[in-house]
Amino acid sequence: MNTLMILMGISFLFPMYWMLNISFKTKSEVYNNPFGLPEQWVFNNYGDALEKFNFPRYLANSVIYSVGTIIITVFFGSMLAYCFSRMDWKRKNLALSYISMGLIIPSQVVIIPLLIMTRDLGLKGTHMGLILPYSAFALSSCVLMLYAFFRSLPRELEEAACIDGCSIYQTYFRIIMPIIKPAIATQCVLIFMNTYNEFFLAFILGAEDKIRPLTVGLLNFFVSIGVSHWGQIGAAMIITSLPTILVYIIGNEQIENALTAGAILK
Amino acid sequence: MLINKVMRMNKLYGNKLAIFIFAFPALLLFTVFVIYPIFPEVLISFQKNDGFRNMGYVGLKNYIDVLKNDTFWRANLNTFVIVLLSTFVALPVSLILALVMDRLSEPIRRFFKASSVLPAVLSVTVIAQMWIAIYEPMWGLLNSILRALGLDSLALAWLADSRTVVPAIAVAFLWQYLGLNALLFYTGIKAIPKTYYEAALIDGAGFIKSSIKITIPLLQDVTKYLLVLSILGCMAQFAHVRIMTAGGPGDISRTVIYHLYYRAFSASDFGQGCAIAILFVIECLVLTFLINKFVAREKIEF
Amino acid sequence: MNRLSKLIVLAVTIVMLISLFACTAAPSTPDTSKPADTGSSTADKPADQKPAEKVKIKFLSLSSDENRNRIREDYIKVNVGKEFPNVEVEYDLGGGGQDYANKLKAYNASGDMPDVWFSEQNLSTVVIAAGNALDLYPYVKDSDFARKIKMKDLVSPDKDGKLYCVQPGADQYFTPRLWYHKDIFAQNNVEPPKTFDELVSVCETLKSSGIVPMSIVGKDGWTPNLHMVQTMIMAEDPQVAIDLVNNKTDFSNPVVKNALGRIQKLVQVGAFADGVTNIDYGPAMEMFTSNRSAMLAMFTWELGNLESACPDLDFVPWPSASASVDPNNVIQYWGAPLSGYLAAANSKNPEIAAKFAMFCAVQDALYYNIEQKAPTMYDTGIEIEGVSPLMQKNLDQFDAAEIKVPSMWAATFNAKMSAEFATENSKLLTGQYSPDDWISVINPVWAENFD
Repeated sequence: MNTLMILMGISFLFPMYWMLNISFKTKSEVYNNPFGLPEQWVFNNYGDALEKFNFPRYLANSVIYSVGTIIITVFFGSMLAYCFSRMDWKRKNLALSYISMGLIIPSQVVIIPLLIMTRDLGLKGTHMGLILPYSAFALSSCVLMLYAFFRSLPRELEEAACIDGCSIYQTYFRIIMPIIKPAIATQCVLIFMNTYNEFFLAFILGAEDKIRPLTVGLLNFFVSIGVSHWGQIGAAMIITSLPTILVYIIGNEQIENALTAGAILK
Repeated sequence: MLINKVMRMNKLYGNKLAIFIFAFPALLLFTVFVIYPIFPEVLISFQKNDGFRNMGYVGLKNYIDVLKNDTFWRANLNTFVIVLLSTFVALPVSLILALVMDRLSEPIRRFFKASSVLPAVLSVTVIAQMWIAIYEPMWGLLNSILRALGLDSLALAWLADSRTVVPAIAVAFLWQYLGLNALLFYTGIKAIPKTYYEAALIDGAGFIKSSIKITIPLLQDVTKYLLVLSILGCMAQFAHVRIMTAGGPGDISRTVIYHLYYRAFSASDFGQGCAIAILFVIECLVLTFLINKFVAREKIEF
Repeated sequence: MNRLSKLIVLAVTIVMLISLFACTAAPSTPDTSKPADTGSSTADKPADQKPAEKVKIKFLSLSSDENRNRIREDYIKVNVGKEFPNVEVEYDLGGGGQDYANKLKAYNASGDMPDVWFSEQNLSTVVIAAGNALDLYPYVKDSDFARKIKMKDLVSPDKDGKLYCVQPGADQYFTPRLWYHKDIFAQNNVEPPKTFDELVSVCETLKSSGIVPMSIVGKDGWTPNLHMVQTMIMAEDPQVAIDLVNNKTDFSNPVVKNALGRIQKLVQVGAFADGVTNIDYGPAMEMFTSNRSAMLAMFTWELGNLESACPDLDFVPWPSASASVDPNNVIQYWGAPLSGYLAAANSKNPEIAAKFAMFCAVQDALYYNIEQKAPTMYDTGIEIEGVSPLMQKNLDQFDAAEIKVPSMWAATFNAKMSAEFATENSKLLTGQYSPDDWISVINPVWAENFD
């Protein structure tokens, strides 16, 4: 049993090893010797790939989209969730169902009107043109999850604040927000993972080279070098994966907690 | 004192302006980008539109053209196949992995956790490209292994053969999330109190029996969550198809969303693209409704 | 302020800084002129009384294509100062492929076209249909440019009396050829085929000795799209191809069905590599140049590259499938009437835009004549030296052929037709698709092609 699982674990890692392997081979060796260690270690694949593939810019764009989406979603989403959980208003349940609709509609479905809207609003070719749709679609799950979390918070906190004479705004920003930090951290990780890896919207709305994120930029790189320089492709893939792998190694525990929290709270 | 407190709390919470300020931005963003676009989409689906201008209303023609088109049904079939593979192959495999994970020793479990979640964290472009290399007919990983084992006849052109292309793409897509789903299941398993297992052990139940009778039923919530998530994810499948085969050969491996993309952006027909989108939304709604109705209806209490 | 708010502010600041950095580090859309180009105009600014103020021309060009980049950097930028001393050109780099198409379409949708740009036929038609392209005929009519063009079709107005595009006429010399390795053929005791049946038996012989008989670009049906379907049609009856180009027949013509059947036959005898539908341009070329395939179906624009990579290179004109067709007398030529440089209908300086477009076409011609040693319909007056024997053989047969048919893909297909044609051809290459199905899908789309 143990050995079987070890083998399985290794099999998940094997393709990465293989790509690493290929990135050090010459073009012809990839064809002739796909598996083994390179007979002739070549290091210029990385240099060549970096030359043709504007990695820093695409990475920066990916980060901008992720961070931008996180900020907008968490900020406004938590406010709305707080509103749902604490304040009394007539249409609350209706609004809850309204937000839940976002869970059923995948973002790809409305791509055509989104494209037209970004054109008309003048957002085409700007980062906001992607950040706003991303945030809108991330709101549903964020709001619902934070809503569940808020409901579990005792009201004593606000009562205490009320005595001191705080307004609702002060109560919220000064007292509530620090307390929900773990939930916000969870949300940050979830939203980051979804946005960083998103392909379809980025492909259509973020196609311009300036604002292209990694997912699209990498694809264009592969297409443009004609998929015959596998050495360079391997190198590009390793380069692209390094930031994520680093983040993953460092933040392993938190990421796990974040991903599983979704299942439990639901 | 208490009345004062209640009154003040009511004042705090009843502050209409505050409610508005807190709720409005999110609701506005959501409405503008998620709900509102459906309306122009319905509108355009009744037009002949080449992506730049409305060339006149054509009633239900777009819908009829889409529904009459063989490729649309093929795309639905492909999407459905992927959903089936995900529900009946990938999820059970994840579940089994999770059950086994529970029985491992600690260091091995940690290693397995770390390595199996890694694919989910990597970029989709990287994963798809990697699988292209694996499926390469002449020197790819898969065929090389098959040839080394002497199974030359099985060394097909995986991404070019109409029989294997859809399962091949599905494997690449589902592989990414196998480990992650296993982890989610595992978390659910950890939440089950050990006392149940102890009781079962006393009654003489082995690993498999206790798994079936205890673990799986108690995982209902997690299962439902994963089921909905993975089915909707499979329905919206685009990236892997686009990168690995561009819907090819021809239009054989298209999924519904890919077909939407093709009609709208390659064939410059926004009218049909929107019609496909609306039909797709209806499909998703029906699926969600069915899942909600048939899975995990009762909450198991203890 | 508590920590979380501080973090938020910090994060927002970082995001703003990064976006600022990203926006200014990369050249933003209209403003891509290098510092050297703007240097002279800023020096002019203080002296506002100067009568000749610099005219600004915005020029959009491809930037992912080696040839296009060199034309722009080594010819256009270098020579523009002499021809247009009062013009300041802003270079907009549009990338390539789908990116470029999206960019151009976006400009077209907003009506805000660059003054001059380069586009291929299928993109040009979109712009022209939207009314955003300038009619160049008044400026081209009696120009030096028109006088030096050998194929007068290129500078003649269309059926509406308009001329929207000027080009160097290099494309028209490109023709698809059947390239082969003399050595491999000798080793296998086969002769270059002159008829389709000979081609089939050559493929069978080569396949049995373990080599890929013919390398083609199967991805998205590229080779059938760009020439093979038409080649197979012309092998039996070139007139059908001419009729298709002029919309006088459709794809249910029996000659078309036979042509599709021939491609299927090739698939079925194993003429193409495994998984051909996923083989892209680069790998297809690679397969031939690394001797893993005996033949290659490719246009003559690769002649230079192929010659330097393959010492035993030779070609034959595509085999005929009918006794009445002489392969040496028929040529399928590339090039589209609307592929080249166009100008914006609402340009603020239409005359200068038109002249700049013609200037760019001349620069293209110079590049092709000097660097590529390729002939152009525009006569630059430069004698092309050092033409290789193979190129000479190519040109001789080109000039001698009496029947010259333009490529229907390049010259007539609209976006939808191209997309559907590509899809159907890709399916045809699996060998499991019937020509009847192909025809039943394509004909309805063809019916709307010329709308």
